Amino acid sequence: MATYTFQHNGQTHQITLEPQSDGTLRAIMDGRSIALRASRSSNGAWLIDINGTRHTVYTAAQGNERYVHADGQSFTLTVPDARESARRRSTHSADGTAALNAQMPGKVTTVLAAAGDHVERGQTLMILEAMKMEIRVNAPEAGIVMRLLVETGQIVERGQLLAEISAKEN
Amino acid sequence: MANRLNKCLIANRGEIAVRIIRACRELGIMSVAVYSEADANARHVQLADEAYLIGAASPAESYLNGQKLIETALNVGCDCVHPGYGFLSERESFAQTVIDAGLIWVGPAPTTIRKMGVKTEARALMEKAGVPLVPGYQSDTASDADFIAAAEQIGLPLMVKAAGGGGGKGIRIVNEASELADALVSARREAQNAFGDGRVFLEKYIENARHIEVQILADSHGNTLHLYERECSAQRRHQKVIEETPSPLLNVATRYAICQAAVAAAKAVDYVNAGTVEFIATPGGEFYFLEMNTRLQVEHPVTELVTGVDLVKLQFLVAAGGELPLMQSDIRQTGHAIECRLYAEDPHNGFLPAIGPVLEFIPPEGPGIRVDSGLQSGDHVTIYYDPMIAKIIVYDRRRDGAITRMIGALRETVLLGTTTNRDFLLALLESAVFQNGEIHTGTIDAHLDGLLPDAPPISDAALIALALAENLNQGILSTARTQGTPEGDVYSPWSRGDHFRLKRQ
Repeated sequence: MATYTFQHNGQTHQITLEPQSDGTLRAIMDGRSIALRASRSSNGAWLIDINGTRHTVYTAAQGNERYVHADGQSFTLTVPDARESARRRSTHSADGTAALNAQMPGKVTTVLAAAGDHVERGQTLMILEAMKMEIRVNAPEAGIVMRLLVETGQIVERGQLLAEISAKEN
Repeated sequence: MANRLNKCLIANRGEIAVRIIRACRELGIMSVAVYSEADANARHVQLADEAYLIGAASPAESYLNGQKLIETALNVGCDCVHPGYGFLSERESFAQTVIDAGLIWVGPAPTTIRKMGVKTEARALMEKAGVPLVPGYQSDTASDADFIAAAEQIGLPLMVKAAGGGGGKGIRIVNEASELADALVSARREAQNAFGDGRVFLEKYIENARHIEVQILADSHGNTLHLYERECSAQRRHQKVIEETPSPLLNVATRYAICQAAVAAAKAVDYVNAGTVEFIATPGGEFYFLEMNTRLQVEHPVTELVTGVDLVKLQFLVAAGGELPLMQSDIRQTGHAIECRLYAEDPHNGFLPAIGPVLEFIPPEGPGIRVDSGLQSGDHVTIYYDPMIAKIIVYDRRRDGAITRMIGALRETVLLGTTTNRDFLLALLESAVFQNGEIHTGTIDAHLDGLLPDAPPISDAALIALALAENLNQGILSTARTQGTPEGDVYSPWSRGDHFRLKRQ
């Protein structure tokens, strides 16, 4: 018996696989018990037969991410110890500081602000470029640039912290 | 008087380099690939007869390094250079340097590239040739004040466009007069970055416009043919998403007229080789010259499928001085072809590029399906290049049949490891507006929310397979696998039960 946990779209799925004496499998998931037959073809695809319906499923793993293609649909899941995804564009901490993260991986082509600057809401702080696309990183609100962590020419990863802004005190 | 071409340097990468290599093989021309440090294991490198490293990953240091490309071509004994699309394909100075080095340029003459490449010069030439033009304003010496005055004349909305290039770069739409000054600044900067030419011009923005282009093929013996139209109105922010031929907009008379206008446009610049004349059309079928792309287009395969003509092979023939083996009356438009551009981008994150490894790529196959791709399982989508994974192209006798075939092909496409626009393409193909042939160039941007379906709930089979894979990766079953049935079954109901020893957690 083995139990695996995956997260998808904020939902947690737990699957327990139980081999049966007749060579079939039983999957227990979300409170249901599913009888199935499974095999793996030489090209790596899983062939899964549930109640006479056959599914060809492809899977792949990279870090904590799991990719699956089944019945014409693709999904990306994570396994539980996945690090907090740093996809959010900006996050606010309790002290009113906004963190600006890179929305996409790319190169910093222009830096238009410096630490200590007062910036207005919507003001462009820097420009990123990837695959000939230009993305402006704008201040989410008026404030002071507390930290500016990148420089022109630097390559940044998606989710990397670019700058921090503290809300302006009125 | 035609030259015999023996060895071609392909100054490009990705799927178009692969496409050109295939044409070279059929023609008995040796193919020479070039690659950057990021592309050492790329498909075009593997398929070419020879391959040479030309520089670092950044395009400026590799695929845009014209001097290095020409040195390589000369050093390894090439007699011609095919530029593909993008990169240096429409750079007049590169074409001229290739020719000056004694090599054959598989493309139009440098003077033609310049005439059509400077969009403002092209407009003037087309006007003279009687090709209909969109109302606009151009001047190399105009101040911002002149542009603003001209904008009032043309009327709003209008577009600020780059004089030096196309492909959707350097374009700004101006809805309010107050936006024009900013649009001029940002369009100039983007145009400078993309084309090394910051000049811009104004053009009236035609609402609900359709993008229709005509494929041209011309030789140096005075033969200028058209290969009918392609419609590329399905665009997101001026980037083509789906292309098809025939255009569902055109009737017989308009099709004839637009193809004749394209031939006139090509003849006006003494065009030789393959090229595309782009038009903008109103929903009523009036059309205006937009620009001419003096190279092979990304979407050339749809034309190849409905005409049966191999455009790349004929590019080589024409470049070698040969005469086209076809007359206009030999070219028929039969059936319907559609191309979808499968991109590594995340529709739910503003369509930003989604870089990452391609862990598994299984292209679709079957009758009437063609896949042009430069990627294979194990490759990486990087920040350095266009994030296109593949062009999926389908053919059927009828448009509705082609749409159905494309939906099936996209569903069958397995791509694991990076996010793609696949579900967005499917939603578009399944939309009534696409199926009715009513998409205009603004449709996608205006109705984007409806085209971004929520992810469906994950299926039981998908979760079970993931659990099985997890178990396999943890090692216990690898023993079972080697003892298993010849197909490598690990959970086969036909193999003995005692092979199943699941790892306990």
